[in-house]
Amino acid sequence: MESCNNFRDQWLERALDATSLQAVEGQDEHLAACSLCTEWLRSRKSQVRALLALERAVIPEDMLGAIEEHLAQPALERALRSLPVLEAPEELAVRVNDELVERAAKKASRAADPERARKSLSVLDYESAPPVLERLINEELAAPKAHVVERFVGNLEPRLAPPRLGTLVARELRGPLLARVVGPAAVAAAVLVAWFAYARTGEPARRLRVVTTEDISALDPMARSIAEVLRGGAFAEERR
Amino acid sequence: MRASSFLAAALLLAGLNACSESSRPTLENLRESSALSSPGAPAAQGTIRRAIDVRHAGTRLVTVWDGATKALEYRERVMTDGSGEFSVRPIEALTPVAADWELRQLAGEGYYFLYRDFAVHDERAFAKNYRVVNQDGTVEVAGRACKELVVERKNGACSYELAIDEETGLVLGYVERNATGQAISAMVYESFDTDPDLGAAIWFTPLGQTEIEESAGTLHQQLGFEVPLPTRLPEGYSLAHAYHLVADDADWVKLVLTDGVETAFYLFSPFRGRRGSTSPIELAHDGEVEELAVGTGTEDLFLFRMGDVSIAHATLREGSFMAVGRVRSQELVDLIEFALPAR
Repeated sequence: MESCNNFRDQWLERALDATSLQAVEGQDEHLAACSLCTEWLRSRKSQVRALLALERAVIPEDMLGAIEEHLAQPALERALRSLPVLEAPEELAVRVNDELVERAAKKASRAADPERARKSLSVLDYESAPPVLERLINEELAAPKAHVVERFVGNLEPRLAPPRLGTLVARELRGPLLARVVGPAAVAAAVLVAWFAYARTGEPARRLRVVTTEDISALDPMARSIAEVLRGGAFAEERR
Repeated sequence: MRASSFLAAALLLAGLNACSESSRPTLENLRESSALSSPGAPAAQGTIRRAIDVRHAGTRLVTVWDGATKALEYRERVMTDGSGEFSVRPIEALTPVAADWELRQLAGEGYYFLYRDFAVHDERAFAKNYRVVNQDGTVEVAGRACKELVVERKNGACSYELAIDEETGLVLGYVERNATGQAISAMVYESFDTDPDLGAAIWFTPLGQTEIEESAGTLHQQLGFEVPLPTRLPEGYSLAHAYHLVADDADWVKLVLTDGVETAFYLFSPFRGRRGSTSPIELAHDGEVEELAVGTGTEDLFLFRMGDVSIAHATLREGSFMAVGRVRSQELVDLIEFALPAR
């Protein structure tokens, strides 16, 4: 696409210079290989032919002088000078002043508010321990040896069970394992998956607040043009 | 206990099945989501050809109604080489129009040629959603012998009375009616030439629009940004085309959806400030810098109506969303809401 743009830019720059234009068209490898640009070129030439066929009009005598005089000024200066100078409406000045006064008052009141200061400092207060923590500590202090055993039993070196014990346990659990563990687990998984699927298909992830409006001017131009086409070209304002 | 295990397994399978159907869609999913079967296409289906596929030139009279009154009537000149090139130019308006009417017609040239008139955009969707209720008559249009055909949407939303050129299969005239039988729009060729001189034609040039290839990787890989794709389409609609375009220096993804004849559009543009920038807008006030978010930052969706066309538009933190179509407003709301990711 970039090479298309380059070719088209070059062509447009030389559009008024027949010699230079022939050089662009004759030597450009891109044009020979690009059917889009070939077609684009054909279309532009048709437009040039159509434009050349138009009757030439003579410009007014003083027009060139006026344009040169206008261009002599810097662009920013021209733009600024062209703007009408308007006084700010009195109502605007009053509103700005009111706003500034109100903000200053809010700042002052925030600074002087003792409750706000207390809240800011409250983060520095230490928190008392919750009652449950106190109870657990008391229980541990009442029977320290038992709690040490309970806490560190997991660190003991594991010993392998005799093979015979493993066989007996497996035989005992095989039936109940399927019934008690796999069954409920599958039910839970199925319910979760079904719920998830329902949640995805039944409701969108977000609901928006729908605002119905007749103000077509607020509509994005692209959406508006598509809608007009689907309406066969009947535009909104023409229906009014 | 065994019964509960079977029940669980059945539920699990059903859940997995439903879950797989509702997983985040790709463009391919949107084509397949309609699960189009082809339960015996209407006998006339194969005889209808699109204007873009038939080399011809002609003048056409277009009429649009708004209720019982004519909202717009105009003539236009159409030319196409039958191989993808086309041109539609307005000739004259026969009802009062705005001063810029002709310019706006020209600006929408591509859309007018491709989407305004009756055309079978997807044969399987057409077979699924429409039925032929009458195909016995004949009529002459622009000096050509035509077969008369009446097709209607199976849900009764609209119907078309068609005049189809017996030689080329082109629709030389149609009247579209809404659910109550009232005429909405019509087009008829007043002249028709199958061997025109196309030397002077200035063909329509699509600007900055490319069709997205599904086989070329994910949308993110191709476009460089995430595209929220809808998981619920209007009833009977499926994806016909997906395009990437640049308008006003912003990237857009445009999905063209169709029920076989009618088209609806879903458009998304990521909010990235100017093209290529990812910086949020910052606004300094009162000594503090506030990051102005993406779009309006609100969760509002604006809904417009233009005759029987609905338009939904929302500017959210992900970007701009638009949906346009001759479908129920709620279906356009769903189209956007079911594309949104969770907060």
